[in-house]
Amino acid sequence: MQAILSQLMLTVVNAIHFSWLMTILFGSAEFNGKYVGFAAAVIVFNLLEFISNIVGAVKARKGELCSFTFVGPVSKLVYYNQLNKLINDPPPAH
Amino acid sequence: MIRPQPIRIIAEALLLAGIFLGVWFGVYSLVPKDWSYKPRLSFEDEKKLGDILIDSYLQGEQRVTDPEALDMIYAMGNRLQEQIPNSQYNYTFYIVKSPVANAFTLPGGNIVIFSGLIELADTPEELAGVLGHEMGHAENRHVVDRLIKEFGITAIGAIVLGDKGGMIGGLLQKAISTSFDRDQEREADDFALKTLVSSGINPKYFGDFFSKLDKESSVLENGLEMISTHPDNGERIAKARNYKLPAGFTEKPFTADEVDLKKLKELVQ
Repeated sequence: MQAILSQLMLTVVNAIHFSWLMTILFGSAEFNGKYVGFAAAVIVFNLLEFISNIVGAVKARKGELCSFTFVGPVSKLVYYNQLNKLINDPPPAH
Repeated sequence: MIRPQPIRIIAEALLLAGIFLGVWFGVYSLVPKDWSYKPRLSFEDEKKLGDILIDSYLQGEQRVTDPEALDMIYAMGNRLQEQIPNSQYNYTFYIVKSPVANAFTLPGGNIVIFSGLIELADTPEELAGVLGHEMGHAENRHVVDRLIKEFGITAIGAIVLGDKGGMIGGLLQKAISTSFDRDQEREADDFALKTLVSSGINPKYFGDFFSKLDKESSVLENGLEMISTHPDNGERIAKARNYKLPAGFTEKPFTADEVDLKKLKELVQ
């Protein structure tokens, strides 16, 4: 769940980066400090996500719990709501 | 299982956003403020593009190919070019028969002058002023930058490499029809005035010619393109007429051997 959510977040950021780059290459925008800074942040976040996912997967195989920043609690909330629904909802009528 | 607190989620979202913004603006602050890079064509590619466009343009136009008329235009153009030592262009001038008073620049240092413009001039120095202005657009790469802005560097690069794909017409139309913005016009004017002075030509001729175009445009109906596409005509006339000449400036008028304007007008008719 954490891996999917972190990927979803990065997809948005990567899409913004991609469209900015396309405007530079095919449109009127230019390479400048703002773009370089944004590209650096996107690269850092992509690397962090990649490393976190590997670390998380290794820990999960060992049976250890690993919670990522932000996506960890969000995943728990989604899981909590699902679990709550499962426990509290009446059984389906036959 | 304990339900995660929304406050924690918000706090961690803010933390991530803060780190992202921190990296973004941290790197941004390390880059020099005035640094920017715009994809540009190399001068060699610009020359190739210019050759393609001028060939395409001239196919539909009646050219003046009289060597004597061209020699006179080159005498004016070369006098100016000698004062641009770092120029990457070897200017090529074309005269096209048209009653419209206009001149324009195509990429690669190709400058087209309409016969209607030559007929309006009273002195060769006035024509030299217009050539200087067009050279200003070329030296500042206004046309090629506009084409890249409109069509993108990749499309322009593909055309240079031979993949014309039916784009030449649109490209040519854009190159010759769209007016420059005010800053670009000022930049071209400033370049022209500076080059005229260093060539021994009084910039007042530049102002005189544009003043004449201004007056004629209210009388004639043949479309004085040079005026209609150039904003702030009054400002540019005043700037040319009040241009501060450097100490020791000596005017070097074109001799009749260099440019015989009466004969030039006959040759381009």
